[in-house]
Amino acid sequence: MKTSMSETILIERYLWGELLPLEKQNFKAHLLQSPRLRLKVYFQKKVHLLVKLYHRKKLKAELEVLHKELFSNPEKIQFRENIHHIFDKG
Amino acid sequence: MVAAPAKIKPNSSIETLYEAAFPNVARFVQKMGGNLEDAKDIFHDALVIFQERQTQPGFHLQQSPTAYLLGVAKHLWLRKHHRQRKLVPLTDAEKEISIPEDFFPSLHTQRLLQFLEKAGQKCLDLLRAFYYQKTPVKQLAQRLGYANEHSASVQKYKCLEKVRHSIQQKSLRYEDFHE
Repeated sequence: MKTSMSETILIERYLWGELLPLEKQNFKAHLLQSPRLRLKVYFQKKVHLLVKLYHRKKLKAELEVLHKELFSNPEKIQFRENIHHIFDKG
Repeated sequence: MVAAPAKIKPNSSIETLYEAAFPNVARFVQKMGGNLEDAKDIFHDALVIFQERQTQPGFHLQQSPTAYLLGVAKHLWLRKHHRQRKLVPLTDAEKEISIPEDFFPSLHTQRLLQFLEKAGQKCLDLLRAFYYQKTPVKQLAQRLGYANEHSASVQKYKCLEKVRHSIQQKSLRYEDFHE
């Protein structure tokens, strides 16, 4: 019986394509037999997706700060006027 | 308490790119009937996609970064405004651009993320640092106050398990009611 953490590490290596051919073969065989393992893999993949979405959200928050900076910094007046000019046309 | 977003360094490459590429996107959005806020939102999404693509193995930029960002912005705009499809001719290079499939997650996934941001932000930050900021384990251990690299590494897996367990619980409960 594997410890919970060693199984988590194994799933991690599987998801990142880091298993050696024989390890992968064994892992896949185990997956077929174990609904519990399939569920763990499914949710571990979901964690990856959520971390990716979290990362994107954080990046967008950083870009928001940069945007505000560019639209308030006196040194960036040229850039700002250029952008406002585009929308004034409409 | 939610931490303030990290500040992008002045004169960084992202700032230079922002100043170079935003006017093109703004002009496109204005032409399509959008406002400055629409242009900003689409441009930020395009920058996030560009940054993500750059780290993917096998990605080769076929055009300048500014042209690529405009192409992504066009795709994002058309996703929202299907009816304008005929009004937006795409170049061959722009036709090759794709938006990541998971860029617009389901409502359920968005709710899961909101839940995690409240219940497990520390773990999200740690996992983000490992996967996306490529922070060396040694540096991470120092930053987070772990005794050594091994402790930081163990903490990563503990976080992975904790987050996995909580979304599993949350999802199964959700499915009880919604499926």
